[in-house]
Amino acid sequence: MVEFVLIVLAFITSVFEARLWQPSFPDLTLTILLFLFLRSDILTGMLAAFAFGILRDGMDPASIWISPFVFVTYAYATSWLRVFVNMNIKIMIFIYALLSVFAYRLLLYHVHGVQLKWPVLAFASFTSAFLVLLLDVIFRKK
Amino acid sequence: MSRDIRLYLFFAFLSAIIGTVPAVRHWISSFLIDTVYVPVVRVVATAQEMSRLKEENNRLELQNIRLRNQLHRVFRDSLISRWLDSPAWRDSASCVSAVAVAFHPLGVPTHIVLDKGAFHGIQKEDPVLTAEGLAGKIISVRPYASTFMSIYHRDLRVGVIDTRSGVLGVVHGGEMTLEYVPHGSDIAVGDSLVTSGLGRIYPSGLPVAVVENVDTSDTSSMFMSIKVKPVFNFAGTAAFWVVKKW
Repeated sequence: MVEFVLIVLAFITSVFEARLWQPSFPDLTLTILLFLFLRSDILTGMLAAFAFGILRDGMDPASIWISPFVFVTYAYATSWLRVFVNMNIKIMIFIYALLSVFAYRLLLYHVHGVQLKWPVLAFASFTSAFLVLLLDVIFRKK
Repeated sequence: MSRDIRLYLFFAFLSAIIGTVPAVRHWISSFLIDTVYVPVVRVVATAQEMSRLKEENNRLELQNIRLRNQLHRVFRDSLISRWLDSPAWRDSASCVSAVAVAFHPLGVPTHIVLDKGAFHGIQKEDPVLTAEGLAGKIISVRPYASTFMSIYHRDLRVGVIDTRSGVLGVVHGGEMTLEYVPHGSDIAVGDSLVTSGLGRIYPSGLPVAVVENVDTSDTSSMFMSIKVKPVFNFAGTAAFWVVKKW
């Protein structure tokens, strides 16, 4: 049920995110997918990552289409991370989300040619990481 | 090579192919925009339009209520002025006061004999009034007496109009129903019905009855089934006015 809700949320955000994207906005699609990777099996995570990555970049013809590749890589990396790190600890979830979004942001800035502004990057990354924590609080397994 | 790494390589390869071939990118992008983005945006736009139309509808409903109230006031004032201007009230000589000398039958009188007749200027079909409103019409005249058919007689029909909504109908005496009011007409319990003046027998604006019950369940008929209560109360009423040459 939670996976279904997350997939619906990811669908909605991926449809609109590319059109509404601003440098200071949190990456909602990635935020939801990161949490989905933590909860679901690798096949579901990969399929969702690939589908919503295409959906996110496909909505903007000017996009460079790095999202499917990055999301799929994150899905695979998360499956490995879950083996070695206890991802039920909040601080681990936060660091995992922060680093993931930070790296994705850097890549986006680079391929889109946006001038790098550290406060904006930090704000967007931290907001996204907090959103992942919020999702964890909302959809925590009882 | 494990299943996970094979899965990852497959999707990564697919993503790389899609990302690097412009024709594929363009085709997928066009397809997604046409099949996903545009319908979703249309749904959002439709929802916004519906919200706007709802607000517009509320505004128009309020305006409609205001205009209807205004119309009712004008209509009521018009009725009052017409009734006050009618010869029956303007010239007291055109009204004959009479006293009931006999009621038939005794229970609910359908025929009432008055002590004034042709000698006093009363003619057949003159309307008969009480202080409350219409009581009936003269059906037979003798030199010093006359008989009128009361609103409780089943043969009496009075063309009426609803003072609130302006809906026209015919009050059927005896059965005390309002007839020929089509389904969907604006009739409500408590509405006052006054003579419409269209039949040229009664002056317009005379109170006749009040709507007592509205039944719209019978859809087999073209008209609504409406019960009315006449304003004429025969109990204890002995004084009448006969309107002549109105």
